[in-house]
Amino acid sequence: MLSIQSTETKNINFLGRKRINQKPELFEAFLRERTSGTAILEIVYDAKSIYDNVKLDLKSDTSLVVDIFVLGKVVRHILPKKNLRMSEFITVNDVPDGATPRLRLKIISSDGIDTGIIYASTSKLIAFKSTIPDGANAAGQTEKSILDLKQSDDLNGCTLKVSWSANADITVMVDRSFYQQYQARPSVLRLVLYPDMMRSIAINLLAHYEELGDLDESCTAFRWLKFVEENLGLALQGDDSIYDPNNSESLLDSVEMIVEKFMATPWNGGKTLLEEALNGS
Amino acid sequence: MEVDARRFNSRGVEEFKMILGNARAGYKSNQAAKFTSDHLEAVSDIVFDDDLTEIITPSFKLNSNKKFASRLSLGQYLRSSIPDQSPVAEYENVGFWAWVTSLYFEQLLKPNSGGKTFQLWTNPRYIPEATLSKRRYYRHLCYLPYLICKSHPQGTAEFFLSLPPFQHSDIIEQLYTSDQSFTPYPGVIEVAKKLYIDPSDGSYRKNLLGRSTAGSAFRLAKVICNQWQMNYDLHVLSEEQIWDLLPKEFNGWKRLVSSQTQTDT
Repeated sequence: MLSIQSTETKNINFLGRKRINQKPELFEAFLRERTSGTAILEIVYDAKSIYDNVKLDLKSDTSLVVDIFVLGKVVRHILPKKNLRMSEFITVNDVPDGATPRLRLKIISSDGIDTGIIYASTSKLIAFKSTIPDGANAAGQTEKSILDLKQSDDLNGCTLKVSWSANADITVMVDRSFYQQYQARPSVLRLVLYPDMMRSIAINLLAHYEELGDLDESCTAFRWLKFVEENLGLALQGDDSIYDPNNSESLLDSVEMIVEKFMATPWNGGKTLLEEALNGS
Repeated sequence: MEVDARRFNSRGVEEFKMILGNARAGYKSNQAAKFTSDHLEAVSDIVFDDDLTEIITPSFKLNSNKKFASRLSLGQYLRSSIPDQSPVAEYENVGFWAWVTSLYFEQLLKPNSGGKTFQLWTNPRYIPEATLSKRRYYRHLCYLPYLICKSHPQGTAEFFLSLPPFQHSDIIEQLYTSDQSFTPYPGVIEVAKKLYIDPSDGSYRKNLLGRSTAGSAFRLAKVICNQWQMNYDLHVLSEEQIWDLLPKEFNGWKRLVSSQTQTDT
């Protein structure tokens, strides 16, 4: 085992395992999306820094793996070892809404003789950090994500449909075949779906302008309203509202303003949706 | 009889809850209530009520007369009947899982002596909660067998589900919930099957859940595997490698296995 060490260290336990520190400059783990029991996770990591952190040689016969734990199931993903900061998207199925995927990052032997030995790992299971816009209510209970896309087989050729229910819940449905074909490329999926989704949600919000002031805080329409007002900084109510219900042209202008602001805003990793898709993640 | 799978609408779920609530009135949460044939009839009355249920689309069939010998056969049947990508299978689909439970309700209740009344426990065994709770989701008598059969290898399903359909047990409460170091690893589970299941009748051996019993399954899951997974990659270790790693406290259980093997040959 010592042959794979880059330099001598005493920071090892009795079987030689070393601890990978949980630091953003080494790795970060994000829960990017949940859709009908499928979670899309992203690991942003720097393999060279991780190996340096535990004083192991990046070129050794080892694998850098991430084990993802969900309700008694473990999914393993081998991370490419490259000398640069990069990200990997991982799709995990059967993840109910209430379940939080957690991970352990490990450097394991890929040498036949030492198969089954862990050379280094994070010490505890680490929860993926959710970047899905979802509110925590006053009681601190997490509510259902507003970006809970429902897969559907019944959209008549459309990729996406947004509906507003009687109790002011906004449901976003996506074509199942389309979603499943592109779910391994989430940045492309987001780029294709989200502008239309945001446009439809904006239309729905403004079409219900008279009701906005009375929305119940638990409904998704209220949380989308807050998302537009707080995350995009565009007021839809009051004196500063971008929308004038007495001006028939205002609806289209306001909707486009919301979509353009949404698309110009950096989200994951400080990138706009277009930048993220072009960068090939 | 093959029937279209349905789900309760919100009124149907409330109706089902009311029947269970009436039967449980006056019982503490850790006591089994007495469920009578009248209660069973009330459940039968709502299973196909068009005002309280709706057929799932895209549709699939379930056999309403199907009898299950174990939780394993129930899980395997649901796994094979529910289409792979069907969103109805999510835990939070309360109406669906409550309806499946109602379809097979008599088999999900332990008969009292005499067989005329049954034991009814609290709702999480029969009706999912609106949002999955990590502390309770595994109590649902239909969802858990389905989930295990869907997400785990056959051996894992056999280890956890070799019980009658109505039997929620400490095997689940104590062992299945060891979801970091025990449940996910097929090699560990195969060793546990060898050590703790009597192959002559498929029953669990005595004292496997003893907290202070040397070499118990409780200690394997909660103590030994927790230590192992710090240093060993349990994901890739084979059953034989794990068997060899077992410390001395497991020797008594190992002897049980070898004596059983000799008897069989």
